[in-house]
Amino acid sequence: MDIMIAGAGTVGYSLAQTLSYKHNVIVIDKDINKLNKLDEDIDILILHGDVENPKTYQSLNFDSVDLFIAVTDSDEANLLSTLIVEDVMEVNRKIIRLKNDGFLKSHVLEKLSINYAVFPDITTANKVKALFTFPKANNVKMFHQTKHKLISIRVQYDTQMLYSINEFTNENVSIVGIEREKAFFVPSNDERIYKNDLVYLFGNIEAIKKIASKLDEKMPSSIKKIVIFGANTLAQKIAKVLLDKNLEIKMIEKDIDHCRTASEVLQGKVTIINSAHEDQRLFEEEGLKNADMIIAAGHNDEKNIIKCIEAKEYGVQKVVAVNNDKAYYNLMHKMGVVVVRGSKAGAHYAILEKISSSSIVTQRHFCGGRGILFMRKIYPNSELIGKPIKIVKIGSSILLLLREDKIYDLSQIEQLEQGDILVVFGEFENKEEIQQWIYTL
Amino acid sequence: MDIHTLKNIFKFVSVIGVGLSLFLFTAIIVGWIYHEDMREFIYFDILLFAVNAIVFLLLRNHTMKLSIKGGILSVNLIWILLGVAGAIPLILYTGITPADAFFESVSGFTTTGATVFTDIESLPKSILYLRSLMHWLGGMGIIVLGVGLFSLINPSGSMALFKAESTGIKMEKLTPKIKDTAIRLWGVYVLFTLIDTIALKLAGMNWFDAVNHAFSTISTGGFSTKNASLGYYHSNMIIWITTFFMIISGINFLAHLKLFSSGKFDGYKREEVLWYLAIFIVLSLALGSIDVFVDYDSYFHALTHSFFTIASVLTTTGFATLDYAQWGHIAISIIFVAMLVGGNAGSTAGGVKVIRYVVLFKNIGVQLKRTLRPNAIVGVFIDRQKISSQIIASTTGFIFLFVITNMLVTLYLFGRGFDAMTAVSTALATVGNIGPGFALTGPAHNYAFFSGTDKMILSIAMIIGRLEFYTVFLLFSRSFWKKF
Repeated sequence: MDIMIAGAGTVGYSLAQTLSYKHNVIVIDKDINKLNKLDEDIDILILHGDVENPKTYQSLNFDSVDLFIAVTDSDEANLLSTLIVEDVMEVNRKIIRLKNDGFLKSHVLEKLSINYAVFPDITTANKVKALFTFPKANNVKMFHQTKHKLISIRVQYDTQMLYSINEFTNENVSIVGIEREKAFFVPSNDERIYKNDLVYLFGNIEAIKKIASKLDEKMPSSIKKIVIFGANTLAQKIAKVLLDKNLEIKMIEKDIDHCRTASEVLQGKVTIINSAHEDQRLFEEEGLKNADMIIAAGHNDEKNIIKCIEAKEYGVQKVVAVNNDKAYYNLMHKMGVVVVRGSKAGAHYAILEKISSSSIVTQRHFCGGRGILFMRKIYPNSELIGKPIKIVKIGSSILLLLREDKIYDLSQIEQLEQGDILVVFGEFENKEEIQQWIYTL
Repeated sequence: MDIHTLKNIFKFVSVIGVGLSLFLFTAIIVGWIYHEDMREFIYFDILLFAVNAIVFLLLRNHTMKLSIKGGILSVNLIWILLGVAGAIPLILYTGITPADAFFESVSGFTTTGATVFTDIESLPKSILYLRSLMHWLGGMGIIVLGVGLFSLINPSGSMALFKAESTGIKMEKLTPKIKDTAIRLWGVYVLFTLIDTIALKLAGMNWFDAVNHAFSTISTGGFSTKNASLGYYHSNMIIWITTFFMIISGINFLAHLKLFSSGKFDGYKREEVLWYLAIFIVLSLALGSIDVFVDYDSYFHALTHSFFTIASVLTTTGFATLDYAQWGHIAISIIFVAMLVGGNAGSTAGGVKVIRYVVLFKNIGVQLKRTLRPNAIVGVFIDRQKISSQIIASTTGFIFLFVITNMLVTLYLFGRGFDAMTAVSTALATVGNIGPGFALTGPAHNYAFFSGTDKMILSIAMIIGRLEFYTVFLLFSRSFWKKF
């Protein structure tokens, strides 16, 4: 596939890196230094120029590209570039990243024939929100094909007793991944669960909640008092989605301008504290140490981590950091910090998953990209209906089937029915094989 | 060095080794056509193939991820091993000493074209072909070929390898995948070779000589199948055809590639190409006039040979039609200028290369301006683009290394008792990958008289020149080997 990416920032860079293994990638940017860095590291073609200038595209010898991805820092540039590129060459699909959620309900995207738009701030805010519905969860993933969710839980119990996986696995829930001491693996049925494991459960919410209360005895089961560090646009969006949850929210931000806009956006329903100089004392004076949860939503990954560690020291149980750099993933898990993908990492994964998913198969990443899941729904006119499935062994992958919201092991199934959903959980190394299998059943 | 790096290097070398053994097989076919006894060559080729194939099979599951250091080490190692692999058939079939054979082989792969053979015409056809084949493989770069053919040796598409072997300041990509650019470059290279072969055949050469001279011309190498080099044919047509192909092989191949892929001549409208052509024409006319005035030659004859000679030296090919060393001191000075200049970056030619002079002369201009107007904001612009100070620094460094290497080789040869002209010109001829020098190594002579040690040192000088100094000298820096 020929893929053109407008913008060589964090998202553009990481997308180019991942996509360049299998596709021809061209990256456009105004900043020659960023492009030179890309050119050194990754096998792609760089194009120096303004994405809003038709001349930039004309200098290429391409009549068409299969995919155009606009991920510059500016919404306007992104929107405009999708229009301009189509004037110069044929573009098959267009994906765009937008910050302003006003476009979510407008017809602009349709009019510009943009196939898919990513609103990473909203995605991140919703992920944080999901943590309130499942306070014990480390991370919650939702799917459009099913109500079942993929939830990760940190094992924290005092007893010496060890649970085994098959004690929990039933038709309502299945354990599909464990992260233990930096390593991620898909467990076999007789695997035991140890303290401090991060366990990934897939299934019905009630069943997961029941298991969660057994695996995690420490985390409070309800959250009322929340502190958000940061009042930037992302933090504002997080606060906004939490407003209807009837919570006490405090926001702490150094930048007075951010504080003022946040106050306007949130209409005074949130306590906003400007902490220009006395960050440390706030934990005492504002009673931050009594918070049930803190969310570090600043732009700086490192500062977010430090805030979380600080809060842990003060005894806050649930600490969440917004993070864009996978490199810190292990460190944060080790520190007991819940990781939520920030806007840049969120945009990266959302776009990647959109590209590798098709109308029939959905592909998602979990556990910092080390775990992978594929979902394929059997639609009414599918030729697979009534056919047996050839089951293969791909590494340690787990092959499941969802039928009327019940989970079955694929080996129990004789033939596929309409409405069935095939779900495969695997390790990232086995991605290619799983993909091959699920597409060519 | 950790085991992972070692595995990377072994796998890399084995892939290139397998590739080389397949190319060497064509030499066996040539020998077979001319009814030569190819048994020993076949054994050697099978052994080369088998050893590399076994190493490759043992490491087939190892995923290569070459670091910059690993890439540099591999490239150095490969160029030395190429010299060794090419030397073995020469030892087997001509009975020369290992040092002689290594020199000849390195001279082949680095497209220098300096030979140790006094009577070339007496060599078996398969060996003559092998010498030209070494030129041809080394010309565009064995790693560029490897990357183009085997995607597994450079899965991440890193530029480190290209940088290490490159013949220029910057390897530019015309396609998103470096592999595609590499394979297309080789496509243009093969195409030029084919056209040159056919042209030479039509001009009166036999097929064998045409193929060999085309290999030698397009790679700007300089090995011939005749003792008198191209002078043997007494054909103006052959001389002009070869002049033309030497000159276009001295131009950046990306410019040719642009012409073939999009029909645009933009690639040639570059300052480097224009300066290169200007230098070529001015030096040729100057040399031609001297010939006319000194030897009372006809204009056509003088210009035919002067254009040819300047093309041959400027592109670092090293063919000869006449013994130009006898044209007098002014002529030698003019040819020396051509020896110092070289071809274009990204071409098959060696030497300092025109672009570096353009950068440095412009930089001198900028420095002068800055002295006169201390507050002026100035910069070096080439092809309307600003050249970063980092490139200027690395260019200056290159020239410094070029001078130092030449000086060391010169001093060594002078110390060994050769005359000054031989020492200076031989150093330049080997480090610049040109081939013939002056005095004892002049166009009518060869390198046979050097001792074994001399030849090893000159071989290393050729590799250093071919890999453009930094790649080899990096091995001698302490930080290269330090883990921290």
